[in-house]
Amino acid sequence: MALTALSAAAALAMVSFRAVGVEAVYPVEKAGQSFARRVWSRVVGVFNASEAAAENVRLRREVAALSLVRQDMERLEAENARLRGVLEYKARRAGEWLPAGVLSEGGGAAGMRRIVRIDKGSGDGVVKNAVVVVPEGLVGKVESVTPCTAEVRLLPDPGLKVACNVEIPGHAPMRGILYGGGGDTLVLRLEAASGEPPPRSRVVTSGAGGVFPSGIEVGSYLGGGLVAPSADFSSLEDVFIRRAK
Amino acid sequence: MRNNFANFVFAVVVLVAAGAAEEMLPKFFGTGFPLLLAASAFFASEVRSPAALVFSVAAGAMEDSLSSLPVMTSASAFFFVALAARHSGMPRATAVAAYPLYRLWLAVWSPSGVGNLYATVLASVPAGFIAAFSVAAVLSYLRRKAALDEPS
Repeated sequence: MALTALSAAAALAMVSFRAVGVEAVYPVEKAGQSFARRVWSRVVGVFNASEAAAENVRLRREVAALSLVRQDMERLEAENARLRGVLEYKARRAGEWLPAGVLSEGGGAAGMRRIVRIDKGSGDGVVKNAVVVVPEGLVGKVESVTPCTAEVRLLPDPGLKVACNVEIPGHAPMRGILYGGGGDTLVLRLEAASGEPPPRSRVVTSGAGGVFPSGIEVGSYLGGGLVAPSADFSSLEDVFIRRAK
Repeated sequence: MRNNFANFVFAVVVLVAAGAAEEMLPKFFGTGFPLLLAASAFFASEVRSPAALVFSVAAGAMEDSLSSLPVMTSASAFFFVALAARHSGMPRATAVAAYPLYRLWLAVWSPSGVGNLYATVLASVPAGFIAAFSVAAVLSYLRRKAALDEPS
């Protein structure tokens, strides 16, 4: 009887608060992920010691170059803010990119394929609808948040719609709405039927709609309303989340 | 009472471990290994207390929260699987048979989430088989070692 009552209380807590299940699993999952990554890096390190050393040198140089670029960007940002102030423009929303590791893809055995869970949550300043990217391009947006984790809805999900521009050199960009087509490619519905953009045109977010800031790389236009995403959704390991400063 | 409490702690540990393992294990054609479903069927058959049926609801709720499914989608399915396992007395066979049906049930509620339905239902048969037999073997062993299979 006592066992039934205890179990009923636990079941009720899980049914009532979805975050309970996710948060209960998080420490085990995080420990497993850290362990696997460490072990894997050791194994790879043993076999690729010389390559790792060369890569280390290359990465150090890249970090040094990027720190110079960052200094330039900070100077330009300050200048931009000053000029905006002079022109009385509305200040842009300041933000920073928070790195996060992907804990799992597709959820549990139910395997909802177009979501990933990441190891940063509301405790790290992640909020619902925050933008998620990788260096190659847009990944998706945060769908729900628990204190330690967040669930990201990926771009190929048919339920996620993104306002985009197709950049055509020498012409005004063509506006459209992008959404998942159920497969590996994305579908772009152009707003005005003013001709077909040339293949391999760059597709970026337009900023309309207010969720995704403008100028984030999404993919390249294939023709026939199809877009190849820039990000590789089959091998997501680390992502970056836009967090308000 | 001590055995009751030990059973409860054991069930909670199984719930968390199975949930984490489900998330971390690879998926084939969008189909994961149904460890929580298999554990529900196992407990329903092996533990005669009504708490085993409550465990199936908790396991389903865990599945719902991990997979972003509407509340009670998996919890209701797992409850019926647990009932079937208890009445048939064949937890492994029930879990194997129930998994493809569970995939179809999910497709009703979230058609865009399951991907290629044919492939996922087909992949669910071997995945269900592996999960059902490995979970039953591990849980039987642990319950025997912890003397939880003895009457309290």
